[in-house]
Amino acid sequence: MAPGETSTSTNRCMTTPQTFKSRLSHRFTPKRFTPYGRTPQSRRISTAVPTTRGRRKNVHTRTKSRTDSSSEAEDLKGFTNVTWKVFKLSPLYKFSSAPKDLKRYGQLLSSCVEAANQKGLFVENNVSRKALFCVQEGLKKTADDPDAIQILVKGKKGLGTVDTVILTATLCGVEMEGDLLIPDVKGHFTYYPVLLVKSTVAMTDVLITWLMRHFDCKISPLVFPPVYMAWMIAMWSGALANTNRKNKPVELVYQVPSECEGIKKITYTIEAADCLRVWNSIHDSKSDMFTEEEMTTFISSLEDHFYSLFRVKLNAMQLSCVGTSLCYIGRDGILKIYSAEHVSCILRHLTELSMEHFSLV
Amino acid sequence: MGFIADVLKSCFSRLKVADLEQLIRQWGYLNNDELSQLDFSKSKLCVFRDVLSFCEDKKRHIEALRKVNDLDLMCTVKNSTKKKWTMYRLQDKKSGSKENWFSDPEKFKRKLQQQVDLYFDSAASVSVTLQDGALWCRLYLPSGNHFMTANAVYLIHYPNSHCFAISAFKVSVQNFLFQCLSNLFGYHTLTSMNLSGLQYKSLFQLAFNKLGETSFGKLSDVQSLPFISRRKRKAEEIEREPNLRSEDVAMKRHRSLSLEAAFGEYQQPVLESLRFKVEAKFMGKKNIENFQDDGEPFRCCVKFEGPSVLDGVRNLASCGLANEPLPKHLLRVNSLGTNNFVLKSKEKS
Repeated sequence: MAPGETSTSTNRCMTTPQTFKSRLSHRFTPKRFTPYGRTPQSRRISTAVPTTRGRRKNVHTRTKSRTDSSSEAEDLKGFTNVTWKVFKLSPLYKFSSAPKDLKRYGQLLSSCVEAANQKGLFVENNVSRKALFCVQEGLKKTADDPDAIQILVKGKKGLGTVDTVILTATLCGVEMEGDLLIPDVKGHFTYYPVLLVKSTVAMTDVLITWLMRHFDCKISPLVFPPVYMAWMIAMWSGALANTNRKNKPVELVYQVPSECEGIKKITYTIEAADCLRVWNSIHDSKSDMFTEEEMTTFISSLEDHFYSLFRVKLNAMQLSCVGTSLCYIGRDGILKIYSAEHVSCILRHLTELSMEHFSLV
Repeated sequence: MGFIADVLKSCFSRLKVADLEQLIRQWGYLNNDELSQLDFSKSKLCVFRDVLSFCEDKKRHIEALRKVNDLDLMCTVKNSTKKKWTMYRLQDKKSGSKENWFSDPEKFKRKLQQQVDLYFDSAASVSVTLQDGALWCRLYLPSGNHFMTANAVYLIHYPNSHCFAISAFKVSVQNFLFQCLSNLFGYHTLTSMNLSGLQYKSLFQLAFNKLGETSFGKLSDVQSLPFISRRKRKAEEIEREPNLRSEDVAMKRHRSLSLEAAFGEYQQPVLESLRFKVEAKFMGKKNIENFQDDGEPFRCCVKFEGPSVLDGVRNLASCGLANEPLPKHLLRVNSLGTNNFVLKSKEKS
């Protein structure tokens, strides 16, 4: 209840006598009296509490801004059938997507990679490595979205003349709802919620260290707890069921607790059409929104079916990986996208999850 | 000599440093002088180069090739868990076939070589050894001039048993390979048992549990079979600390007794995976009000994976992650002799 507001029911129950005056306000509030006021905005600490619980989630598999086209799917085909490591970032200080700045960043990263090579951080002895920054087309959906940036590090193996791509990374934010940056600092920072990287561990570390040092940001893996993966299963398990293509089955991988020796994991794979049948029984397909209750009912009904077959309690175990026709996601931030038409949809959801960790007041 | 070098390199890459000296000595191809010149404290690469130079110095290419093939087989015997073995059953015995020579590895090798020469290139090679009562065979079916590990097929057979274990092989050679084995063993049909894993002894134990007999009839002394596990399971400790008391001791004891009745007191055979393909009515609809039950089965696949899945299933119940009684298709894996099952709802007549 906000200060100043009173409960009418409590007003009927408790009245302040006219003769009695106290430090308390004449209006009764359920709040206890404290000598402190509201914490000034400048001193509030931003929290990182995910706010998905109880929230209605948009179940769109298409982007809101414009319909997916075959040319756009062609632009984003490079994201498919590749295992990405997903990271979340804080806003980058003094980052520019102008061509001359991107060229400069490429030169700086190239020298940093070369320095790491001199230290012997890489196993393979490539002769030369060159970094390139360029704008990735097809991911800027709204005016609030920053230009998506693709980072490539190429190298020549031994005496070869052909360049091989050693690292591929993409900085992006897709359909960012609202602007987290306050107007005072907006001119100095650029916010990319998501970083996708495909490379070796050593090269990934070099890139992340360089980004953090050069743009004064914080980069950490975007992990997906079981509740997030349950949301994704509910959102995407029947996404392609209406097309003529045979859909990949829905896969849930549960990790067995370590105290149960002998079994490490249980993989539960369900035909996409049968999964969709269960989902349609729970959720009205005409409605775009679905609730946490529907998601919980969906997952628990699948686990109940498993229990009736094997009398094993899947609800006592944790989801470690989930797979649908659209993508495969691991708890440690591993992502593999199968459908080029839904790259934007998946990145939009990752943007949303990343932004929840950095909701600035 | 390039082929010999490739085979040797493959052997050395699979061997652990600790096992290298023992295996080279056991191999018996190098004489005492050559063995004394080898420095096993150096890296595997150094030892490999020395051994290769000794093989080249001998200048007997055919014998060297045969010997390195034997070494490759010895490496596989030593590291049998590095290969995935699939069990096949022998059915429909041919009239007039005899099995009394199966225990002699040399005779077995000659018979197998004859069959392999009929169906494959004369460059195909055969190596046989007897280990722990089992015949281990290595068939190399070349396709090209270079050595490829994918061309080597390994086989394990216990004499007088109606099954054998085989490693991965190319689909293109399956027909001829099985014809060879059919003629060798004297059976018309080789049927897959849908049983595969890394521990060959456990696979043979499960296969024997299903087949239950040999060509000499049921064996009265089952425990003497080399692949039967005789180790008892470690007893569960319900109360570990004297100062700690469990509140549900009675329930745990009851559970322990019922699991022992279901699984026995001996250790379970080791299986790395257990797969179920299910086509049954959907049974998770208790919380769904408007479930669209159109009679179609709910199709799913379930896979249990781990270092020892049968023990793991038992432990699921003992940890409280599964409720008793466990279903029959989990309890009877031991006697059904397979780790790939299909579960279907009973059709109402």
